[in-house]
Amino acid sequence: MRFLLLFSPTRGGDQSPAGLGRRLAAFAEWVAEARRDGVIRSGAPLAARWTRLRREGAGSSVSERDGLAADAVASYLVIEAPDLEAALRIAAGCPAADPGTVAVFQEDSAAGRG
Amino acid sequence: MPPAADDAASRSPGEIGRQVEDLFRREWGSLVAAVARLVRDLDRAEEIVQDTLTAALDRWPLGGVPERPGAWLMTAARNRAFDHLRRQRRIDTKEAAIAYDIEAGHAQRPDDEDRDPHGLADDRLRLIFTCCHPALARESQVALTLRLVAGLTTAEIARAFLSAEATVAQRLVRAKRLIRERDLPYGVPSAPELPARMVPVLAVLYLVFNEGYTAGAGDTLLRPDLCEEGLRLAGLVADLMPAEAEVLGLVSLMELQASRAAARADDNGAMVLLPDQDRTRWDRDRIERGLRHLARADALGRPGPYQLQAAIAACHARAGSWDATDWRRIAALYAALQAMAPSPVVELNRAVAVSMAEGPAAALELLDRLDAPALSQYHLLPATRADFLRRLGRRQEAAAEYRRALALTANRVEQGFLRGRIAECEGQEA
Repeated sequence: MRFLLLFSPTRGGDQSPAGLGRRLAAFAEWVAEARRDGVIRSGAPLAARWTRLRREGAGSSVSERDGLAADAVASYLVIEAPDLEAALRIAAGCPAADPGTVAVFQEDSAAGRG
Repeated sequence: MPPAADDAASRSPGEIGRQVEDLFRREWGSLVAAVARLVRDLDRAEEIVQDTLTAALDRWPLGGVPERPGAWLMTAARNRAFDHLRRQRRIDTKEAAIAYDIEAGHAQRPDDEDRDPHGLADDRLRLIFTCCHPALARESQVALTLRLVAGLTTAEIARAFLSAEATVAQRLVRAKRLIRERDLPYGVPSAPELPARMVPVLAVLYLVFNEGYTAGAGDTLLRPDLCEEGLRLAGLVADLMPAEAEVLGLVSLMELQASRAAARADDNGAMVLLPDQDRTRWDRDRIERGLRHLARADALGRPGPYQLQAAIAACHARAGSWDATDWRRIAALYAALQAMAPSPVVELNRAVAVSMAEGPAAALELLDRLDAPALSQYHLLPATRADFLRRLGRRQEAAAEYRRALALTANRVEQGFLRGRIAECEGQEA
């Protein structure tokens, strides 16, 4: 099964230059290992600025442009796991979520099949 | 842009950790300095830089480490600073932001105190001079330099100086407030001011180094992290001001002293004095670097106290053994140092050199003329006197002086050494 992991921007934890460096290294190592193990299917950081598009009746209008993603999503990963529990374990093991927040969405494979 | 994950796969976690940690530490001071010049607020600058490093933490593991990570961090930090300025000052366009940048750096103040009189447009230097402004207490200068230039946390600074974290935090808050309230200049002093303003800068760097080299308290003689930090900062100032002989002298002095670090304690952590040190354990690379810096300083033809101290350290570094040391030259260098920067500690050291060149009796006379009250709490005065007395065979008096020294030091390694000497004197007396 595939899961989408959405990581919030890093907050809290050791904020010293050395501490942040160590955390970055741990995250990079975790990603490398998960890729080697075939757990990660895809993933990328998201640009700090985003644009919200809202359609209102006929036509569309951009309601917000260049918003700062301060409280939004910093990066995403698509991972492969047997079930939600396994996906949560994988997410919990990611150094980016310690401390931090990661939202785990399960792909609805039944959707669209009628 | 090479993918970080692939990169990571080819290197050990420890190696990656050290590289990124080094990068963040190295860039921290430059980033804070550059942002502080723009936003003119040290707290805000720190916040912006922290946000920038956090953004790298969020991006690099998945998106890849940029080819020039330092440049990436600088651009991201400056963009954040401009965002802040736009919010604060309604700078609406990039052109206006760039204009503001130029203005902030060169033309904002009518008295032009921000202009770099030596063409040294490095923000880090401005930051170092601000942190070491004479209006700030020495403890605050040290704490600010370590926090803002070296990127140590409050907890790390407190640990390094064995102070309470709250005390260091308060010191930092007060120092930043004083800089803000008194509007202390953020820049390199003009040429006439420079020699005087250089004094606290070099003193702070040497204090950081020395705190690591001769730990005032604790279970170890050395705190290598502080030694390295002092050396790194001094090297940075030397890179930025390569024509300042005293800066080169300080780097030379630190390198030469640090070269002996491995030989200063035995395998059990007990102190080994210079005469007994295994000179094969001295770091030859450091000695070479120290001698090179000293030669560069000499060539500038402006002698100063740090150069003289480095020249003394160089005499030791060049000597094959304690007995083969050129003690007459060292005594002469101490005399020159005493003339240039009089201090009872220098006179104490001169006495040690004289004891080697002319014998302990002549040196003891020098000690007797020393300004003892100024050194009343300095354990090396009674320890030195004890050594002279021991060498003169006056062991009972020596043991009494060693006991005085013992009562004045909090370093457990030194205490162990002094107890050994007391036992030796008393044993031979009996």
